Amino acid sequence: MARPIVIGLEVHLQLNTKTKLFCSCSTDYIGRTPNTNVCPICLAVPGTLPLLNDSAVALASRMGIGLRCKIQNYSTFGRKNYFYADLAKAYQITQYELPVATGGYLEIEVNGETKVVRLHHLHLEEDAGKLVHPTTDGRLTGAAYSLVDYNRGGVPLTEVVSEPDMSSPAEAKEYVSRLRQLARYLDVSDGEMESGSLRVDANISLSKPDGSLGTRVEIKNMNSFKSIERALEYEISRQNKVLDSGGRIVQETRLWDDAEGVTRSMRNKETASDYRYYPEMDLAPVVIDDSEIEDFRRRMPELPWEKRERFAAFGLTKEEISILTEQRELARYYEDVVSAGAPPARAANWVRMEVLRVLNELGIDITGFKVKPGALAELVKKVEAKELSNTLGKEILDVLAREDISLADAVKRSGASAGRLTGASLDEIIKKIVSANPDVVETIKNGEDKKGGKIKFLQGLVMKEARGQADPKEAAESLAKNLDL
Amino acid sequence: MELYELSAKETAEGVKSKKFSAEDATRACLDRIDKFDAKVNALITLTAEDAIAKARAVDEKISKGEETGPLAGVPYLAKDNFCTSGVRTTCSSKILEAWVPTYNASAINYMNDSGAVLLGKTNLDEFAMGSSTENSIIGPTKNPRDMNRVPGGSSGGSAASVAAGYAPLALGTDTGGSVRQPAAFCGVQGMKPSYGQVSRYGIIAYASSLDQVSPLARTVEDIAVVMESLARPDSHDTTCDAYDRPKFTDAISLEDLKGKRIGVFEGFESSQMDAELYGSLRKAAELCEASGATVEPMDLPIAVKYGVATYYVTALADASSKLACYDGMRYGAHIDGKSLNEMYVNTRTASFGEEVRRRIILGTCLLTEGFYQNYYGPALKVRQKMVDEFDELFEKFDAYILPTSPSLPYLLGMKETDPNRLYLGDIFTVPISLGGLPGISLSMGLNGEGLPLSVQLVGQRYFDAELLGIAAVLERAIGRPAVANPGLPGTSNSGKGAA
Amino acid sequence: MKMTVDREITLRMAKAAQLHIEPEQVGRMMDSINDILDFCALVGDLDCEGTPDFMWKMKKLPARRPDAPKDWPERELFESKAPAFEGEFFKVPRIIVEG
Repeated sequence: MARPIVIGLEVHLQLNTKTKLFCSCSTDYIGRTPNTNVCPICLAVPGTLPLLNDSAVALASRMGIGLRCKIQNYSTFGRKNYFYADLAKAYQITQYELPVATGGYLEIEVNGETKVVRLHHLHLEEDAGKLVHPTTDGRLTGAAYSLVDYNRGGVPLTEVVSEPDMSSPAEAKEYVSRLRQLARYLDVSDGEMESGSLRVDANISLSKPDGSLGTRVEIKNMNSFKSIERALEYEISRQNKVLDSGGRIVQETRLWDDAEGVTRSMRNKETASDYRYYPEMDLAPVVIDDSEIEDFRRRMPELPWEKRERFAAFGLTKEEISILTEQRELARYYEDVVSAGAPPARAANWVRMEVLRVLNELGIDITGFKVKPGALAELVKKVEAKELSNTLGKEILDVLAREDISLADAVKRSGASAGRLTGASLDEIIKKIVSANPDVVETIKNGEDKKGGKIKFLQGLVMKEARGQADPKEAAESLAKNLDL
Repeated sequence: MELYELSAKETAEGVKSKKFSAEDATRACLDRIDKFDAKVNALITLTAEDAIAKARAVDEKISKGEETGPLAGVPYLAKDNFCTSGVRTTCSSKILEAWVPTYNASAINYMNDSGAVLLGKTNLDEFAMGSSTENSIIGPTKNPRDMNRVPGGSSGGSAASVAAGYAPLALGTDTGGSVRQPAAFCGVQGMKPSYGQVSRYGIIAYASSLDQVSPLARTVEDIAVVMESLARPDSHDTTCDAYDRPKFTDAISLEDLKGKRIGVFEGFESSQMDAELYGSLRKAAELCEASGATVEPMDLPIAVKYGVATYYVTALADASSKLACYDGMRYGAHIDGKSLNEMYVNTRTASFGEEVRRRIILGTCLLTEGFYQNYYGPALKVRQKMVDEFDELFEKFDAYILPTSPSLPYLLGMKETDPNRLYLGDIFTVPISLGGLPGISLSMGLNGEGLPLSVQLVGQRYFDAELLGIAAVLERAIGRPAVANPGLPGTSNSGKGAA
Repeated sequence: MKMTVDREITLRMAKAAQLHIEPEQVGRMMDSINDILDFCALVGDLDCEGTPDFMWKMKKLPARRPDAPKDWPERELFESKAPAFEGEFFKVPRIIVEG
């Protein structure tokens, strides 16, 4: 009998602020010379005091509102004391007893079913610096020293702590992707797992036969969406094996080893109780009064589910909505195409099928896409009006996406600029096709084209030669006339 | 009167009216240091050259008729736990022996902006942990009023300096009595302002929720003048209140205590304290009454019973956390090791003194799971109870009079080993710190042996100006302390108030 | 509730504080901790039912810091004097990565 799986997640998001949580150093640390984004505060120089970043409070509150949390009028910070080379003060300033936001929930959908994941709270804390362990001449032994870069030390994080409401690795992965989507919609965080701006720790246990909770194991070091699922699946099977053989699960922290595909026990020394938490008295409490919360609410951008509702009103399918709203920038692009006059359903199809195809081919995202929404709207309208065939429209989109060329020039270059092929010019093409295919013409004239395949073949050649700019009906009639049928 | 005997206010007035120059005033003080400090040992670092240069700059401004500030040309000293840009700041510890900060504490900037002239940095117990200024890398400071005795601590160097006429003003820090008790021991005026009144930026921390920049002087008026420079909002310290401060110098023009309700602390057995100091308490009460105040006995049952224990738990825990940053990597002493932990342990064990190491280990223990629930956690609530008790009493009183210290300055080298008696030394100062209240140790003259007597005046939080007003009235009745001539006969107070 | 430490806990506390105690000093440190624990157990005696944890109240809370980056002009001077700074990094004895 399968043991019910209980998963709770702690997701750390690096906040999109310009400066660190407690000092005016830049947060733009990626690619920077080590130890240049530092100052006396983040290097824990004696006598310095933390100064809370206003934007960090605003962003954490915004995320809290997005997650339907209660934003607290009064919250405080604490110190989590432990020595480590990447932690200059030897304590991390974090919120633990009175966090900035509590409660809330996030809806996820797995296998067509909607599930509500409740949240425990959301809090602010500072990031640690980075350690570098150089190797000597590529040998395995490495150098006799480690290096510390404090550029990341003090960068603001918000930690979203869920209740243990997830019951499969797929749900956990979906929860993280909804959370990331929300963070991106709200401009709270870029949510990149690869660069570490989104980090996930999981608490997982298998329930006992009587339904009571099993022993909790914490999994860290999952650095991609794929690894969240893999690590949790591995851990479930590991715990099942231990329990099946009559063993006991040890409460511990385990690190996911992505290369080996296993979780490994961290030596059991760093349990929460060893950290020594207590209140941070170097900082005034965070007071967010109701009018400020109201102000945060007023400035909330549209949330993903609000956008989905609005898109549903355009008559889009569930799948289209899901694809178009996944990324706020893509959704915005689509909306701009619609506002520029393209019919919503057609525009949805173009963005979903053609724009995403081109982006994929070019390996870029929508923010780097050359085709302005207005141009795409024009193109869609031309195709709708049959001024351009579907095929030619797609070709023009390809050109526009790759070259610095206006829509008008691209259309002109495609040969469709003179307008549609009709009358004499169409007749000319038909005559050319007829004279180039005497065998086929003869077969038709002999009445051997019973199924109409041959005439269709000729029609196809005409259309191809016309680059799609002929009306198929006129072409068919003209061809029949030319063959004296 | 000699220049070194003048108050800060008198010095600034003399400099501004060109009766004498800032350089004259500075040299007069430097001469005192030169004459006595080899014996008193109150200074860790002397910045004579910088001081002369600063004094000349002040004189230059005055000759040009430029604005100079309320402390123009006033020499002062700062405890060596105030960061001073370009001037080493040791905290009296081997771990910071050679450390030169790249910035000034806000208090130092405010003093400099007011025209004051920094003469140097004063001795303290290592990391301000102690109450005798014996526990220092440069050795003990002596009490200028009796060279066989301690000056108190941890701001003993600053208190001794003011008493010995090194400067009319000095800055100290008060965590649990570290300015009030040495002020009492050295016979000068010392005030711990309300918590949140003065920026802590640039003060090397002992305990974040208790440390306050605290001035020492020989007149209450000087304390008011310097408070006007020090007490202001600071964008570098969010625990420093942003409210608009009252004018402290206006408050001290209070003529009498008519209408004031003064509580006199009687919640102890007189056997617990020195009889002469008890006499000072009674005398202060009489002076209040004579000045028109309503005087009533009062008690602080929670504060007195639980104050010291609550203070120790709070301060030790915080010290263990605030002193964890000394890891040998970014500043201060560094001793290598084969592993990260070995480097930490080597550096910290060899560079912190024994008392500091002891307190760090104690504090670590108090924050550890299990101990926290039985000590730190309850202490946080007891502290709130104490605040409530104070609030309730301030509905009945405008100020209280308490002893500053239960004992007169004791002999050097007489290390208190009985912990219960050791704790008693702080019994009247720590509750005031825990409550964030303003407290002034007021000189009550000298006893027959020339040892300083004192009382402590305590006001409601943020009523620092009102408290200075009451202190000023009493000081007029008692007389302001005179400069001591350390080791020379004839050291005395100005007589009037000798108990 | 009054608590006490034994030699082992004393050593554990020293380790957590990154301090070494000479073997012959462990007893003294243990006694010192126990003295404080004995004296400070008082804080558990007062009935504080319903009392919130202490936190400073302020008349006027300072504004939060604006999110505007600033440089630190003395950075290079500071780093040149830092005891464990080399090249671009702070350098420490090799840390064995766990796992």
